[in-house]
Amino acid sequence: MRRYRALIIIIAIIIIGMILDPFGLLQPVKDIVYRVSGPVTISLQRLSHNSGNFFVTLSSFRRLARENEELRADNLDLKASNATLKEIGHENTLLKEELNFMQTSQLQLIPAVIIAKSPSGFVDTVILNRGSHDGVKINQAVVSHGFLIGQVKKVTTHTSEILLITSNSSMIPALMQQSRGTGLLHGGLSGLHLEDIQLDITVQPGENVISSSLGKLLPQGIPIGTIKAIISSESDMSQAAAVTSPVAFSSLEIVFIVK
Amino acid sequence: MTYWRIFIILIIGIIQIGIMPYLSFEHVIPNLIFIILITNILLGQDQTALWWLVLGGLILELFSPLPFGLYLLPYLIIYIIIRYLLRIYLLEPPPLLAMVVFFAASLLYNMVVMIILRLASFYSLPILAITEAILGGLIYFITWRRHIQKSPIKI
Repeated sequence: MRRYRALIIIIAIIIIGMILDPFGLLQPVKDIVYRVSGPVTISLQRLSHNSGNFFVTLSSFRRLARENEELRADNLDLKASNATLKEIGHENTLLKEELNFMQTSQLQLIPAVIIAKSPSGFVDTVILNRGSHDGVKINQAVVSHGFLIGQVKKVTTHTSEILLITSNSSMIPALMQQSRGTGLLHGGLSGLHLEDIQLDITVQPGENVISSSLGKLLPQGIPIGTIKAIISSESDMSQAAAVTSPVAFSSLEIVFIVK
Repeated sequence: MTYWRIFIILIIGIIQIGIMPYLSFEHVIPNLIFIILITNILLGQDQTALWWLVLGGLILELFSPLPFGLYLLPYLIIYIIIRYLLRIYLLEPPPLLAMVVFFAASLLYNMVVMIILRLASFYSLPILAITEAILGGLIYFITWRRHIQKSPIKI
């Protein structure tokens, strides 16, 4: 009987939680828990992060030095590419300018036309008229007006499916250009959100957001947009910000796949 | 005894939230609370398992961005399933069999969450299940040996 009582209590907790949570009524409880545990967990995070780095550094110092040299060289190239992309992104607005962007960019680009869009409102995808035959590969970045709009998810011989960054299931590593804070860019019904920004980073509205090479999925430095507003609260474990992109996603016609 | 139990669960909860995310690989973060919960169920420690279920589950719920119930409810279902299987088939299974239980439970739980939320790729599921099976098997082996020594069979 005692065990059944315990099970009934657990089920009651679950039901009450499931009812309260969608209305945000658990938020005060979470706030208290975060405030109480915040200093401990942040210290632990820093400790584990630092100790992790320390052991990694000890075990692979030589490899890191070589990688650092390579990364510095890559970084310089990417900075140059980024500067070109930014300049072109501001200059070009129409198809003619898109072509001009292609000619002046240092990135190798494949022009492509959108031939279909996803019928579902839950997943924002577009189909392009370029495929593996044209050199398209999975995870390549797709830009419009110099700004990142998505990533190649599926490739057939002559077409490719692009998951737009506005999609709910899109998650892209991004970097804030001035503060150098990193985060994950999510799409969704409420717009673009840059999440998981470390608490020690000062996020400023208007700051440029660019792609990050974390995870080695995208080249670093492709402009994405700008920070619109900070949307996280003080009690959150990390910061989050709303991001605006100058690209009109609903009227995309011609885009470029970054080789 | 109860205070100690609560204290240990809180400590493990903080470790899970503060340290485990930094020890992840291939986006896989082993869940210590889940592992210890199953260890207690397998050892027939009903009371302790229920404490881990409620308090551990609540800690994860409060720190999780997922909708409420995605930890507690599957944990409760897994608790009931394993308890039922144990009653019918075996009590205090050997560590290797326990690892199979850890693997199956991890796969089951994470697959349900993944399907509901489309959070991760299928690629990470078996890696997570294997990690939790190995870690769980190790923790279970240590506690199982202690348990056997403490309660020898009397004829």
